Amino acid sequence: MADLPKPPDEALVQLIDELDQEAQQLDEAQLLAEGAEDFGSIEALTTHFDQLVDSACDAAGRQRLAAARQGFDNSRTTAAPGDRAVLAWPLERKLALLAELRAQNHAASRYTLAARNEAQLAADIDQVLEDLLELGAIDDQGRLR
Amino acid sequence: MNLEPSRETLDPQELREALQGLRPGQKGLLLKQARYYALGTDLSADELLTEAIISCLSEEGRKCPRDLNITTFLINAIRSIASHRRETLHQRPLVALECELMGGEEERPSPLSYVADRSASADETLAVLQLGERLEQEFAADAVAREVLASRMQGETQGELCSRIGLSPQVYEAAWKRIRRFIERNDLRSEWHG
Repeated sequence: MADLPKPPDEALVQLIDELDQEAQQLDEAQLLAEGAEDFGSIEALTTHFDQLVDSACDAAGRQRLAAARQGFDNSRTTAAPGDRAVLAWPLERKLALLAELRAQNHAASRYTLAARNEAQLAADIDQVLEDLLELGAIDDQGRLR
Repeated sequence: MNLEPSRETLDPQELREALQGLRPGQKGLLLKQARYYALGTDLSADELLTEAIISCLSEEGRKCPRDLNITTFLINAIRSIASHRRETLHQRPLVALECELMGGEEERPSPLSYVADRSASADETLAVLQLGERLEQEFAADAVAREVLASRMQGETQGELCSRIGLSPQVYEAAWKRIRRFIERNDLRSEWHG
């Protein structure tokens, strides 16, 4: 035995290890007997354990769902600037695209002409382009569909 | 991305079924282990076990190999999480436990001097005192249990203690069982953390 006490963290780990090893030596009958003492009955023990498993599974499922949603949101957020190249165009080019829509009497041009005035601010133009992307009237590269 | 589930590890549904299909004794063993490993953490045994299961079910978490005993796998997860929690908390109130329980038979540093040396916070010192009080109260009339507990925490073997203080193996084992069962039946978490 060491002359000095173990540091507290080591003493704790030592105690836990001792308990762990002891418990792993218990046979099924001993585990059942002690479990019944602690929980009132073996059925109560299994019910308690199964409920913990159920709640853990539910929590893990919620976490996976939240992670999937987050991943989807992230992909939308991060993909937009690169994929929606049209939004990064200079204002003149954006206006030219809207003019082309109008010139071709594209179905979406009614939206742009009715709802918007191309002379509005750049931010407003971007909103129009985003709407057109959402509508599928143009693709990410500004090509008419 | 590989969407094909690995056949070398259990998927979440298989893991759930495997856990719920354990024998009652194995479920009892896991509940015991969670109680032990929760010592010195800020988690209850149930919280620790739940967290371990969640970590095995999460996308990026531990994966249980099919050829590994699931009880062993989960105990490893419990151990790992608890260890991490203790490290995070810089937990050290156990210092006083074996010192207080040594009964002054041998010359050892004062329990609280250890705490003071390590610059423990007031909260930690309080936690030590609370724990000491709790165990002192529980084993006040049980000098053998106090000796056995202090001895086990120092890694002393049964034979060493028995020969050192003249204890029979039967008395030793009975005392150790009293300690083990006390820990299993009580949530000592709050004692460690105030």
